Amino acid sequence: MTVAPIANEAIATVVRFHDIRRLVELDRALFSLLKQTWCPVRAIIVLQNLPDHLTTIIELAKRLDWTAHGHHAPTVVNLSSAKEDARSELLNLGIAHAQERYFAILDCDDYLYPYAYEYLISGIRDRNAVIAFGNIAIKNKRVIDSFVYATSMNRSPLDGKSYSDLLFDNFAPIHSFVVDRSKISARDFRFNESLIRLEDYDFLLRICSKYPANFSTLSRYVGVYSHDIAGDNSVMVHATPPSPANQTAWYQARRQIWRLKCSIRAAARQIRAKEESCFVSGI
Amino acid sequence: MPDSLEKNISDAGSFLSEASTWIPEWLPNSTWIEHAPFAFWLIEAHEPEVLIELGTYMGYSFFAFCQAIARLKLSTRAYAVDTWKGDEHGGFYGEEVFQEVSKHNAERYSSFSQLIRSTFDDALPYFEDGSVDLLHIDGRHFYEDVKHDFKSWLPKLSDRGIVLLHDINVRERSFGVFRYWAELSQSYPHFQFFHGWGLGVLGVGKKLPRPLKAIFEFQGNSKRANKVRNIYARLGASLDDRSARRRSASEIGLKEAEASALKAQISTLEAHVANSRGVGEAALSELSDVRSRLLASEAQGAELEAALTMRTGELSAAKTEFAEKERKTAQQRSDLETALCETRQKLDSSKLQLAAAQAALTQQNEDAAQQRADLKSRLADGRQQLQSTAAQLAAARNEHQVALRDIRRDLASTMAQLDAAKAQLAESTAELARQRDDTVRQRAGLEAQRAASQERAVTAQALCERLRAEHDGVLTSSFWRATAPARRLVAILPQGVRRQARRGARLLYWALTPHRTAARIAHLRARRESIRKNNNPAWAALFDRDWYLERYPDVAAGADKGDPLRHFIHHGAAERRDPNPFFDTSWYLETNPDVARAGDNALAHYFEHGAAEGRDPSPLFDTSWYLEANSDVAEAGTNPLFHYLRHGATEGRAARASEPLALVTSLSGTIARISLVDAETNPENYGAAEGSVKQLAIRADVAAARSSLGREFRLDKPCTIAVGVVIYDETEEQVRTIFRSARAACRLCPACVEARFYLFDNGGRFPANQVPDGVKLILGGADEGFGTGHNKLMSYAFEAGAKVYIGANPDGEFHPDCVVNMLRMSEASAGRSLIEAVQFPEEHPKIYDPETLETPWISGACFLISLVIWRATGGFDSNIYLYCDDVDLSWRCRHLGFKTQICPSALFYHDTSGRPHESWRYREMLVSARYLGHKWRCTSFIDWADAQLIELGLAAGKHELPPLEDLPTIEGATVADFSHGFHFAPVRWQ
Repeated sequence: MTVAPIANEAIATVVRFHDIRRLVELDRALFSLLKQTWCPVRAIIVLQNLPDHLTTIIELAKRLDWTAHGHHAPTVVNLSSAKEDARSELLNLGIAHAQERYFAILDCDDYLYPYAYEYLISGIRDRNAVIAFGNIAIKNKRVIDSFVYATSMNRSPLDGKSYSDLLFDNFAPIHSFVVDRSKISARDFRFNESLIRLEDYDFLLRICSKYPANFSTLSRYVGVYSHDIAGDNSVMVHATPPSPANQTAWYQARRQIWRLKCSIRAAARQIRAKEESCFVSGI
Repeated sequence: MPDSLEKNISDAGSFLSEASTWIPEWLPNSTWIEHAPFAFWLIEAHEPEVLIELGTYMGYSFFAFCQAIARLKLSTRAYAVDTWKGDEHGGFYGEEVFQEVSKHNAERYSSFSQLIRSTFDDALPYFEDGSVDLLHIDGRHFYEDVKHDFKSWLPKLSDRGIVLLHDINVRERSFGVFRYWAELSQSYPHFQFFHGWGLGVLGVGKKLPRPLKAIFEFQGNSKRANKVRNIYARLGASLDDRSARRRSASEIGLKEAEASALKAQISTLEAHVANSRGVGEAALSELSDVRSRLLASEAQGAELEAALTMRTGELSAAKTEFAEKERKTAQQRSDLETALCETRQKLDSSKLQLAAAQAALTQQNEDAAQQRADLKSRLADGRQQLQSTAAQLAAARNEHQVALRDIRRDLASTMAQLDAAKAQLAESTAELARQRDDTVRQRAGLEAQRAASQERAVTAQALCERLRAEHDGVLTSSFWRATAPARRLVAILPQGVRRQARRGARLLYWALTPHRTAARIAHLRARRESIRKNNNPAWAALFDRDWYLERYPDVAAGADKGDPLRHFIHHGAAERRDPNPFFDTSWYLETNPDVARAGDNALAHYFEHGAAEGRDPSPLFDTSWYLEANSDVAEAGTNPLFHYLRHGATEGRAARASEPLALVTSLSGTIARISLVDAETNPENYGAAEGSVKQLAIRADVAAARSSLGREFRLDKPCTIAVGVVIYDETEEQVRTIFRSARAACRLCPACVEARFYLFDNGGRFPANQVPDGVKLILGGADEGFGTGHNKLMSYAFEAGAKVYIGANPDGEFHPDCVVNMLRMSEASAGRSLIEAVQFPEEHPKIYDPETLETPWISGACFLISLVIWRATGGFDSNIYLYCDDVDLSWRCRHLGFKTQICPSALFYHDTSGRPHESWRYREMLVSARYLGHKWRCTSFIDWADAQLIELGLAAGKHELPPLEDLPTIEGATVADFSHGFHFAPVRWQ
């Protein structure tokens, strides 16, 4: 996997899309990208096994006037994969097509507030960080025919506010952060394709353990996470019986994450021990 | 075949010819670049009649083939098939690629070569089977794609058919060519190159030229094959170097051009420097001139001082002369005074003459004043007559207005009656349908009962006949006749003796008829079984003993605590007690009146008939859905509720499609069907998500929602829509954006819809030359407020023929679907609905019905109003300057029988998240709110608004607030809702 060279100060947003029934939500997500005050934005819509719908998605994206808002025209790419769930491959495909300095992800059923990228990029610049996190509101919703009916909204703070909290558990939704890829090696800037759950957590753990991150930007809400009360999200909900495949995927992902955390902690311990020995020996 | 190739082909060199060393004339960037030497050799060795390339892109390989064909003067016909749009692997590209390739082909090889712009499959029918000698496949590189291309084109290959496959050595980015090549190479003679991403040569035909047969034989000998590969890899590398050199040369050229430009810039700068130097030198020379002029000036100063001394002497001489002249002047003054006295005497005489003339003039003025007074009197009479006429006109106008208002009221009342009648009709129809369903169900039940009764009657008749036969048998038996005297004797005995005698007789009969003993035992057993069945029926499987005791403590404390089923059978069912948590006896009997009328045990009925008929035991369990969702249960024929209670619940199966509804929130007015469940209240029932997320479950009939949206409604009648925007201090960019998006949204309407655009400038500060093209600007003098501005635009637009008006805030933006979706919804309701586009990214939290889409009021951020509603309401209340005017208009609409709906499929981008709290804004809101309270008769709301204004220091006291007494009110309305503060409606979240 090669990473395209960094072209400019623009931001590329990878929008994952794998279910053609969710066009209504994709349309909303793209509309929220169109109105970003940071520009230019380039939406890279990555599809999984939807070659027959490529034209539909392109037409949907083309209806919005990207040029008039100073943005780049969106890119639509289809990934043909034998896997039923190739979410990490989709993200890596998006990375391969991204040429912009800043990078973000947006799932098709979520959306952002207009100042989101401007705020997070200033968070990166102010602290000379590589990644900055914003807060996310949660909305419960049902999709009814051609519209989304929101039933409630929660604006409680996320369950974490620092790297140590992140090391404990993932609290940052996939669209809550922006990455400055000019400061990250191409080797680190990829998603683990063996994971079909918690792939974003794996990415964040690796990035935040190696590069400076700005968590102070969590004080402001930058977007909305839509939780489908019909149980269409990948998260396990108690209202419906869990499918064995979903359970297995979660179990395997948690095991891998646990190993990654162990290696990060071991590395941290070694560094601390080394620092302490230097301190004791007066170096 | 050339002789050179026929010669010794036993070594690697024999697969080389002069052609192998040719240089490609067409050298774009390509991953194929290193294979041109082999391509040249192949064309020479193979001399194909027909060559086809699938996937051409920049045309490097294709033009290499063409170059060899042209140079060898072969009769080959070459075809390149491609869409020239690109794919996931190579990337997508623009039209310029095809144009460049097409131009080169036309200039060089058009005599035998042709480009076919289509998919590979579409090109297939144009080639006959067995006609292609050389096929080069370089299209999409997924495994399935390559396989499909090869298989679909295989029949087209001739006996001399060769297939080239590129990228057989790429093992990344989901390339699948290498996998398919491995499969093909098992079945066909082949040779493979590993350099340049890998090129596979496959011998498909059976009559291949000798050199090709030979090269396939080399494949089996790795040493010799490697030699061939190395030779062609080196030749290819030289081309790669050449291409790199060419690119470098091009870059050098560019750099040189840049250097030349820089040099030119340097020369320009040098010229500038030289020029500046000249200017400096000129300045220095000027400076020295100035210095010399200064020295000259100093000398001139000395001369001037000398001249000054001389002039001082001249001045004293002049003073003496002046004194002499002064004396002469005094003499002349005395002469002049004498002359002045004489002149004054003459002037007095003239004044007397002037006074006489003035008296005459005064007389004339008095005459003129008299005439003016007469004229004024006549003017006053005229004015009085005019006022009288105006008063008559005003009275006539008032009468007309009253009449018009009455007509409007009557019209509204008629419409309301019409709606009520429609609603009643709909209810009657629904009731009729329900009754019809009940009747059908009852009839089915009665039919079943009749069948059962008939069956029972037949059985009873048979039993009766059997008993009668037995009875006749007994009466006619000799035993019966023989014992007749004894029976008569017994009949006259006392009762106690008689009983003993009968018992003795029965024993005697049993003793005398031992052959009937077996039948008697069977009869006793059947009787015992019947009693057992009555006390423990099959439907008891649905009875939850422990739950029943826990649910009904009186049973647990009573005599039946040891046998709660017995209690249920004999008492509980009749008392409408529930046998398990999912069977609601009362609900079942109320929902199924036929069961109630028949007096059946509800649980028994459900078990024996109801489940099969798709009836539900309670709102908590959906019988039909459970069987549909669990085909194993349906196939097994098990009672679905029994399965759920016994197995399904523990296996995590759901009892129904959506979770049940517990808390029903009924809204005021027309909105009464929305139902919400607060999972925080009953999390154990609804499986709420973790954490403190307030979760509401909704049920919505999708068909009903589609109908409310007017999704099936066809916009095929001519219609004019007006989009109006009221601005106050907005920027030119904001105005451009809102109208640009409005125009784009209107373009998605059908051709029969004409759109017009209006702009109202509140305050008149917007530069007229910045109004977007096609937008009609209407100037407002003073700042007249939001509602008044829209009223003026609506008045203008409707008079100009518009059928609907869409008002939008200037700081927003229409989604492309916004206008057409609102219009369709409005037309579907025949214009009898005031409609709001949903705001994005944050919508207003006020509640709306997911089926009817009705909401207590609509926001003015983006709204649609029809001509019908405009005529009935007159638009916004002009007594409101800002805020709450949309609430007031909505309530008036509902009061008059119209609907207020949200169109959730119409998005209007209106972000207010960055708007800070501003006291002036809150003051305006409160001032409007107190008027709203006054108008809709809610004194407590006025008091609250007053208190807020004073407590927050937005008003010093009530005396500062605008008086309300003379403002209009609406009496007896039921649509106003002041119980939710500024939300004016229940909200989905705070």
